[in-house]
Order: sequence, then C-alpha cells, then structure tokens
Amino acid sequence: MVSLVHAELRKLLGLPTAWIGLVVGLVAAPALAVLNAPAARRAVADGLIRDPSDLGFQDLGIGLLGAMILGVVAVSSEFTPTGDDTPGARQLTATLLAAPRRTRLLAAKAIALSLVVAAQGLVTAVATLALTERMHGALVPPPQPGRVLAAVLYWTLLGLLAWSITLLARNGMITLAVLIVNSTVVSLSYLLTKVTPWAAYLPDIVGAHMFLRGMDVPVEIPPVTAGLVMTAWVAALIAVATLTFHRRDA
Amino acid sequence: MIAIDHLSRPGRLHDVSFEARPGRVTGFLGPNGAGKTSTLRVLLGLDRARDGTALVAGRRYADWPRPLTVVGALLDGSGAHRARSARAHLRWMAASNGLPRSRVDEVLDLVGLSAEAGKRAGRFSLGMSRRLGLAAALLGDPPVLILDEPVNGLDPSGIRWMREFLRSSAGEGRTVLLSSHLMGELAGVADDVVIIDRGRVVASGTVGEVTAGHPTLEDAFLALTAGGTTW
Amino acid sequence: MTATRPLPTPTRMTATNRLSAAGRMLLAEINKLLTLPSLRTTFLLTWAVTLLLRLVDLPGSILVHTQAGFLIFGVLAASHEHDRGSQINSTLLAMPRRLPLAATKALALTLVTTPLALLVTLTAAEPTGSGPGAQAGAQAGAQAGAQAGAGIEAQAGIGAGAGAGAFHLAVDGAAHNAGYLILATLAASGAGMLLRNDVGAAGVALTAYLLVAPLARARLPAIETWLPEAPQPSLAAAVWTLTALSVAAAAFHHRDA
Repeated sequence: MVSLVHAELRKLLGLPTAWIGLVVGLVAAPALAVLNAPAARRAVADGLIRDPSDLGFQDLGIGLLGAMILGVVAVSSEFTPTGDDTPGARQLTATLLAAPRRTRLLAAKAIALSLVVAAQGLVTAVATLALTERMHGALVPPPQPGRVLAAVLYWTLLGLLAWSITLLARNGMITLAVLIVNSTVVSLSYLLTKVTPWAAYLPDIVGAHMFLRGMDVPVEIPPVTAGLVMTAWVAALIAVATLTFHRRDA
Repeated sequence: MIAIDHLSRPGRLHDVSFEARPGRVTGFLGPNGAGKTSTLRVLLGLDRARDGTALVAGRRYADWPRPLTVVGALLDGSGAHRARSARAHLRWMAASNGLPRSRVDEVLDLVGLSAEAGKRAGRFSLGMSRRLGLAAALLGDPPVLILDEPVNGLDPSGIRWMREFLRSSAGEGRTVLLSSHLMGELAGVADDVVIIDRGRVVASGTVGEVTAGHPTLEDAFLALTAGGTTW
Repeated sequence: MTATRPLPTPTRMTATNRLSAAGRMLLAEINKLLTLPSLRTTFLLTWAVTLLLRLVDLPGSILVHTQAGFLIFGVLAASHEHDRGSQINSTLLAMPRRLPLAATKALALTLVTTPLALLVTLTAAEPTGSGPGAQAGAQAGAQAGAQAGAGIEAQAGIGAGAGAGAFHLAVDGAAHNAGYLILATLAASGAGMLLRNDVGAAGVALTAYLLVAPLARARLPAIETWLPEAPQPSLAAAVWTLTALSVAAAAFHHRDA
C-alpha cells in the first residue's frame, strides 16, 4: 500500500497542471490578504465584520481553487487519451494493469491527493494568517490552532470532493464549473440558503462553519457538526464513485 | 508537380530538395525521426520552414483556393474528432471546399466504410481510422496525393488494397508521394525514391538508380543511412 | 512523361460550389459546431440549470452563475480541434488560410451562440435594471402606454401600456444580457484556441470571469471600468473579447499546427 501511495504521489506531482494547482493554491490566498487589507481595516473599524477573528480565514477561500484543480487533475489525467494512433488508450489502462485491485488503487489515490492538498492547505493557512497578523496587528485576535487545523481539514475535504465528483462524472469540466461557480464572492450555495435553509448543509458551505464564526446563514451550525456533515458528504460521494468505478469498464 | 526546394527547419531539416512527378509513385524513405513527416507537414502548410519553398503545381498549398480539389493528404490518425460520426466529419470537409454531399457517400463507399458511416470516429479501429483519413483525402478527387506512412495500422488485405490503389492512382496520371520506413512495402510500389536521413536527402532517383550497386532497395537504404537513428 | 491530370480537376457544379470562399468556410465551421455532441450537452445543462434557479427564485442574477456554461461552450468550440484525432490537421488542410479561418470561427460561434444565449436570458428573465437598453425599453413602454391611453378607454389603455412596457423591458433585458453572454463565449473560445486544452482553458476562463473580475471590481475601484461585469455587456467586456480573440488568432497564425 505504501508503494502504491508513493506511485500515485509521483504520478500526481509529475503533472504540469497539478503544479499549476499547487502554485495557484499557495499564492492566491496570501495575495488576496494583502489586496484586501485596506478594505478589511475599514470594515473592521466600521463594525461591518461580525467577527474580526474571521479575517485571515475568509481570505483562504480563494486558495481553495488550487485544491480543486489538484482534485480534478488527479482523476482527469487518467481518462485523457494518450495518443492519436491508439484508439481508446488512456493512462488508466496502464494504471489498472499495474494495480488491478481497484479499491486499493482508489484508496492510494485518495491518500496521495490528501497528503498533497493537506500540506498545501497548511502552508497556505499559516502564511495567510501570519500576513494578516502582520498587517492588522492587534485589530485581529491571534488565530487559535484548532481553527487552523479545521481550515486545513476543510481544504483537504474540498480537494477530495472535487476528486470524487470528477471520478463520477469522468469529466473535469463539470467539476471545475460547479466548484468555481461556488467559489465566487457571493457563491451559489450561499444564495441557495436564502431560498431554503437546507442549502446551508450543502458540502462546501457547511464545512466553512468549522473555521469561520460570523457566517451569514439562516442556521447556526457548531464546528464539530459542520465537520461531520461535510465528511459524510465526501465519504458518500467517494463511496458512490468507488462503486461505479468498479462496475464500469476501464 | 510537387517541388521541394532547399527546405530548412532548425534542428529538423537541412536543405531538403526533391521532386515528385505526375503519373509516378514517389517513395519518401527514411528511418523514424529522419524528417519525413516534418517535410510533408511543411509542404501541406501545417508547419513552417525557416528557408526554402515547397510547392504543389507551382503554388504554395495555402494559396490554393480549394485545396482539397488539388491535394489529398493522409496524415496519422483519422483527422476526425472522436465524438463526430464519419459522415458528419466528411460533410463539413466537403462543405469547406464546395464539394457536393453526394461525394461524401461516394468516398465512404470507395474505402468500404458505408456501413459504419454513422459511427463516432472515436469508436473506429486503427484500420478503420486510416480508411476514414483516406476517404477525406479523396473527397476532392485530387490530382496529387500525399500520404504519410499509409500502410501503418492496416491488415494484410488493407495493405494489398492500398498498394493497388496507389498504383492505379499513378496509372490515372496522379502524382503520388508517400513516406515510409518499411522498405518491403515501398520496393514493390514506388517508381522513384527519395531517401532522407537526419534531415538531409542522401539519395534520390528511380528505384533502379538508387538500388544500383546493392542487391535490394533495403540494402541500399541501410547502406545510405548507416549509423542513423535507431528504429 | 505520363498523361498529366488537368488542374484543378472537379467539374461538378453544386450549390455550395457557387458560394464564395468565405461562405464555404462559414458553412463548414457552423456545420462543425452543430454536429459536436459536447456542445449540445453543455447548452442543455446550462439551460436546465438556469430554469431550475429561476424556479427556486434565486435572489440576485442567475446569469452571473450560468455564464459558466457559456464560457465552457466557448472553450469547447475552440479546443475540440485539438482533442485526440487531431481534427486541426483536417481543418487546416481544408482551410489553410489561418487568419480568415480564425475570423470565420468567431463569426460561426457568434451565429450559433446568439439564439442559445437569447433562450437562456429569456428563461432567466432578468431586466438589466440600470442599463441603457432597459431605459430605452421602459421609455418605449411608457410611450406605448401614453398612445394607448389616448384611445377610448384610457384606464385599460394604461394597463395594456404597462403590460407592453414590462414585456418590452423583459425582451430588451434578455437581448441586452445575451450580448454579454455572446461576448463571454467568444472570449472563452480565444482561451481555448490559445491553450489548446479544454480543462486548462476552462480553468482560466472560469477563474477570470467568475473569480478575478468580480474580486478585482470590488477591491480595485481604479480599474473597475476595465473589467467586465456579468450580465451587462460593456465596452470592457468587448475589449476583453477582442483582446482574447486577437491574441489567439495571432498565435494560431504563427505557430505550427
């Protein structure tokens, strides 16, 4: 299993698009924190921010794009045809020949992706929060380690969410569209909470309760519940994706 | 009919010159990576050369207003998008050069794909993909045929069919230029031979002229390209 | 020397034969777009999601979200040339003049996208609010109302006028917003032509239109006028589209296929 994870890690980090995801994820959030600083300072002074401790954490959102790209390319690279002269040839064919037990293979892939995305999330969170503290000083209370870990968990779960949707759809475009639409300033999931309070339990928005305190949604969800709900979503999607992966031809 | 003059492309082609004449099959021979495909792609306006000219019937390929009626080209793959049916692929190609729709069914029939015309190109076997590529090349009933490794992926009966097709095309007065790294295939079908190695033409002339002094064309080829690229 | 075939050969005269070179290219490119299954799927999904969001009465603009479908539509329309099978070779063999081809591709995509964009904007039924089109629509409605009001039954006339005004407003808003969607689709096709990879180009187009543009609008008021804002067509949106298409066409012209 360790060697399988190792192989999947090498495969993932060998993709140029995966590096785009890595770099985008690492750079976007700290950049936004800097860009946002003047507006944020004014907002805190005017009392527009419900909970100033959310400040650095809110900027993390944009970096999640990187985690999503990683989740998408980890799957879509397997389904991309490899050449002109070989109809139906995909990397997946070689992968399955090398590791025919599909559940173990998927587990190895999920672990490899989680490792990369979690490391990316941790570095990004620490960098963004350190920058926020430097720029705002005493205005923002120092972040609690628990919330930082919760943010990293959210980051990892979102990467896995992208991964499982892509595995199900066998198409990176759909995942990319759905997730980017939901990363916008005013996300679709957030707007849906205005239509029905149940939308607050959609995977991407419920998870944010793990590390954000002042969210403007109709239902109050405690961090642990939020974490459990999001984990359940991701686990369910992975289970369905694994089942279909078993049944379909490579 | 085809005139290649002092073609150069950094790192790929060095001063390549040769001709292919009407009514004859010209074999363009060389090991893999010698510059055959590169030369043909420049001739067809797909890639650019730094120096030199490549003309079909006195004009650059891109200067022909309806190029499919002048040149039929077969490159690797089918040239069709995998999600489009063979018929839909040939129809847009026909429309682009003002050819009648009825011509699409004619060429499908000619290459034996009529029964599979509604299938998506991505579901074709390698041999069927090549046939579809050939059908596209024949759409405009062109006087010039340019074929890159035409027998690649064909089964024995397909190879025989291709050989007869090339001979009869030349017999009708067409100019046929085909590249290959398979000597046996070429010896039986070509009238003229151009041998390229590491981007340079090392021999050209009729099969007899190039073979002179060697037992077979294959021996001549190996002697001329000795130490060349591994293949 | 053996008998040479005359040049150029075909003697058949057909309807398409009499078309100009530009007309033939346009016909071929429209043909290609209409027979690509992924474009059909993308449009149907986009329309279905728009309808769904309309039915649940989503607050705010629906098109801000469903423009994603049009961006993907544009990317696929261009990048499918470079998918496996190298259709781009066939395209350039049939139509070797690259700059006219790039222009024709943009025109074909505009013609195919226009009815689809109108269908989606009519489904979303968003008035443009402050847009000049909406103002013109409101004015036309008011005028119609005034004219009808001069008739025998003033009261009913005003009612009808208001109805006509609302209708005008809706249609006008739809046409207006469709303009934005067409511009976005064309810009995305530029990204597809430039990057020649569907997932990569979709990532860039979606990020630019859904994340970067709105974020930068909110944070950097100095450059606000240079950023497109969904779903309003603007000079900025047109400039983005023209830039994307020009850069893509220049690259298409210069590099090897």
